[in-house]
Amino acid sequence: MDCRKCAEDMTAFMDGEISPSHTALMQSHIDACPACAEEYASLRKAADLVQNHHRYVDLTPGSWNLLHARIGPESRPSIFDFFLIRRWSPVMAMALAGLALIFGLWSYHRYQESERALRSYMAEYIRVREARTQAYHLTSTREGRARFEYLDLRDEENPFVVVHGTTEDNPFRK
Amino acid sequence: MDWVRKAKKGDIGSFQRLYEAFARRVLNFIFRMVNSAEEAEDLTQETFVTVYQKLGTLKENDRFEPWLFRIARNYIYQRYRARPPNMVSVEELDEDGQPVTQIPDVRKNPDESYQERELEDVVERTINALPEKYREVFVLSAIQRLSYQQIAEIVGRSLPSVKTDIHRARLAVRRQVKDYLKV
Ligand SMILES: [Zn+2]
Repeated sequence: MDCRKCAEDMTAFMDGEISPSHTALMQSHIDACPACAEEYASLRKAADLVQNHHRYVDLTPGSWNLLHARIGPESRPSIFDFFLIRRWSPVMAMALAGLALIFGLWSYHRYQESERALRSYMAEYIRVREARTQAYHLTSTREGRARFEYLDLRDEENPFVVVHGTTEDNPFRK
Repeated sequence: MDWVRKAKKGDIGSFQRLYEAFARRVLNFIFRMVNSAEEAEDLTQETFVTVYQKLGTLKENDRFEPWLFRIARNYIYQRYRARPPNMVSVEELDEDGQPVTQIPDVRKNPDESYQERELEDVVERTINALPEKYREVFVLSAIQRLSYQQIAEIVGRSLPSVKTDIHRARLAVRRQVKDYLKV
């Protein structure tokens, strides 16, 4: 242990912040070296002066009551809130997201279904119309029937109409 | 740290025990940093409101003390940012080269001796004259008697850097008070 190292660690030695083995080395150096002993003594005195003569302020009386009033029961989350917010909210969020997803898929499925139904209904409608027109042309030109007669021709009797469904099958009539 | 454990569960009585055990120390740490008893009291309140609200986030109960001081320190620096601290500048030195500071009227006892008051003034002026970085580690170590490890946690710096700064602050303080050291 040299004086430079001893001076460097003197504060930590004084504060008890060095290892026991290093403390023993420091102590034996200070005991043997008058310069370091003097240095240590003056550091110690300065530390004592601060420790014994620093001004301490006191809390004003009733400071706890003031604080207590500020930290009412509503200022901190209750145990219930704690569980709800900290622990259950991810679970609840996931459950809600799951429900939203299921509802979304269901809605989409229903939309797709109605789209399909509309398309097939429209296709059927167009086919029936075309069949009627065709029947009208054939009957009116070949047999000289009245122009509007085709309107009376029932689909079941029309050879060009393939009946797939009735008007009651129209999903948009409901 | 049974009080910490109970206070965490919302036991207000245990929180009060914590307040009684630590509030005065927190107050004096803040006071030494902001140099105003009134402001220190105000920030101590803020600190404990935060402690009450955030206690549930403290993981290790036996680290309560450095955690508490770190919250107090955050308030000190928040206040510093909002308004320059009551710090001593180089221009404010008296004819002897001593910093001129406002000494708050917080005497322990009106009939304490003149010599005691003088020593208190010297210590106060000396601490206030330390640059902020040294002052905080000095106050936490020399006055609050916290360990270097705890101080490193509070100020968020490495242990060797804290150790060096405490040593430098001690040497600076000794230089300032040398005339008052009894032979
Ligand atoms: Zn030596």
